[in-house]
Amino acid sequence: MKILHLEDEKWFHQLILPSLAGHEVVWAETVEVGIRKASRESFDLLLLDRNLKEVDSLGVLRDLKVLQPQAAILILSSDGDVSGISRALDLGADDYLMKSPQVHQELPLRIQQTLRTHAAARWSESRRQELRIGSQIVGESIHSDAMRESVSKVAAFETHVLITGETGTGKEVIASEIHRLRGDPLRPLVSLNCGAITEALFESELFGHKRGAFTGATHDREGLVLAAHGGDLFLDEIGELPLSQQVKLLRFLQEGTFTPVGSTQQVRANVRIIAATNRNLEKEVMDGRFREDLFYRLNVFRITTRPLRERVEDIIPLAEFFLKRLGYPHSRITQEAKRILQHHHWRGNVRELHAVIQRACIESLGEDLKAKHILIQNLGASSEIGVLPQTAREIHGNSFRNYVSKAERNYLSVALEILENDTEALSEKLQMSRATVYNRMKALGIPLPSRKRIK
Amino acid sequence: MSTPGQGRKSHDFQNALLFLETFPVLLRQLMTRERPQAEVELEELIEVYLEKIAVLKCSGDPQ
Repeated sequence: MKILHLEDEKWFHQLILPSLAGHEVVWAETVEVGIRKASRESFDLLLLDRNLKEVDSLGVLRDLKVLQPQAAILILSSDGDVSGISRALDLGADDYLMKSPQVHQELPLRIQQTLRTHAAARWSESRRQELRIGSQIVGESIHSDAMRESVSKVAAFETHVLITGETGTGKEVIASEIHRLRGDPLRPLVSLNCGAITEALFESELFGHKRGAFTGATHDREGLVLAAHGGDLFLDEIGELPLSQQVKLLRFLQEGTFTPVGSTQQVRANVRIIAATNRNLEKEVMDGRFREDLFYRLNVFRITTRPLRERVEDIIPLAEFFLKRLGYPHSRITQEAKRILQHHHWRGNVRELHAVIQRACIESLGEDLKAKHILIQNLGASSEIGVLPQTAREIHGNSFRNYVSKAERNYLSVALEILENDTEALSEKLQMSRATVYNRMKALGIPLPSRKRIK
Repeated sequence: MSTPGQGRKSHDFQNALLFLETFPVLLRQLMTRERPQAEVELEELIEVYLEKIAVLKCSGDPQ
């Protein structure tokens, strides 16, 4: 292993040198020498003194990170300045070690740990990049990374999957990714929206029927389960399924067999169920609207999609993705337009964003998307209106607080848009302190504007 | 709150203490070296020793 030790005290370098026996060690007494060496040679490990004289060690760390992205970095610090060490770790150092009288004894073990941490971080980063390539799950937030990771994990298994999350958060995309990553082009994917089919038709749609089974059944019909045999059956809005039909689905999940309507013969089918719902199934079970046994059958592997407002980092990548998909690959989104997109509440989630971008494309006539093309104010405002009580029973503390907080959120969001996210101007106009405005925004879930605007 | 200058002074003090604490280790390391080289390094080490003592004398414990 090749090590660069940047340390302006020669005695300290000599102190730890025997601990580095077996490795090729290059000592740099000054930053200039260190930077020169780092720009000419490749190192596996950088040992950096955090208390270099008359130099900002963090600045040096930044430069070294650029010059030696492959190298692990261990910071040696002679004081317990936690914030300094923490900043060094934020800037890409893998670990730190205090310069104590035992430092030469502790160093070999800490180097091993640093190399392991670095390797894990590099693997994790390359894995993230690898999963992003070709994935239909667009986004740069940690939630999107986690979803891609979950999808890639479960794709290879025949385990049933339950996808939960607010409407418009991309549950169908997740289902289709689980199917795609199985990597079998001949494997079928069949979808059924449980909320869009009548109770009477569900059984026949799912399991098929024999000719004459009921009025209008003029010929035999293969159901969706058989069509999905050897593949995936996506049951969207599973929470809408009536109890009477839940039991039929449960029987199939338990036994792997079903009987088409009007038939006496059992048919076996091997199907992986990917179910999705925007309902809270645990609560549905508690309220007796969803069978507990079916819930446990489906809830083998759970993926939860997060609302778009909780993954602000995904908004622009998604908007750009939609732009390309809508046939405007060369259109760009201006900074002002980006800011508006990032600060909207997105109650309709990705679906709402898609609609907004679609409309913006029409408004912009294929040119760059500017703030004036992003027409979301009315959408956001109308979706933020609380519900007024209709009866005496509906008048209670919770409904009042809910109404007031929605109205307050709506007012502050619109005011911020008008004032271009200038919180200082807002606090002046409202005759409130900036801290109060800031705290209200936080409490109401309004995305905070960039730091420079907060001042 | 300490000023940057005070921080540096505190660091120099800690550094000098660390040197004195590890001085025996550094001496033992010297004993494993060949003579002419060891003599040069010993001289350097004594110079650093005097420097660090001066730091300790001048600054005292900044805490």
